[in-house]
Amino acid sequence: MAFYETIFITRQELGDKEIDKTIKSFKDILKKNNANLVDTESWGLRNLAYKIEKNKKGHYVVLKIDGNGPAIHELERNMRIDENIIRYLSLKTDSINTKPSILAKKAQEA
Amino acid sequence: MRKNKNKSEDNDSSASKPFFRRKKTCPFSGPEAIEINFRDTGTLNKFISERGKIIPARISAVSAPKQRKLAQAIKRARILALMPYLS
Repeated sequence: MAFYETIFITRQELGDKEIDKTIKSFKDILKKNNANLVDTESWGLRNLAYKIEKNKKGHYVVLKIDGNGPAIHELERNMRIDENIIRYLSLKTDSINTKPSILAKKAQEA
Repeated sequence: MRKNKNKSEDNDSSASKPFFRRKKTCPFSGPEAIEINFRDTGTLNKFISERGKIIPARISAVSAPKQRKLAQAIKRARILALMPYLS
């Protein structure tokens, strides 16, 4: 198994409940593909550096995953289908760091 | 010939003294190194021009291996709209 970090940006209009629901659905998708959602992190509502699909702001969510390539591929396929997700980025990481990152800390302060 | 050479060397040292500039060192190497992370836009912003372009290593004095890491981090930050492609 390898560790991954998938960061996605949702549209501004989405509420916390809807975001939780999408995270849960992704968790199920991962489970079906023998992958585990270890941790999630929220960077809150942030201004985008440039407009994406006419959006100026977006909610940032990080998924920390212990899984495999096909699971990530399936996850990304579902993210492309979901119209509320405007951008995603998956990265392979050496380890999973459960400590909040700089941006998560900033979101908590605000 | 020789006299001239010496003279010019003397001139160089005396001329460069008032304008002595310490050579910049790579901010990501050495004991007080900063970690390169695409989330850390505050640090990354120091290495892009006003237009949003990545500053060449020959100007910022970032070492070659670190410049590669830095460029990768800036590009990741751009994908996630944390940093601009152009501004």
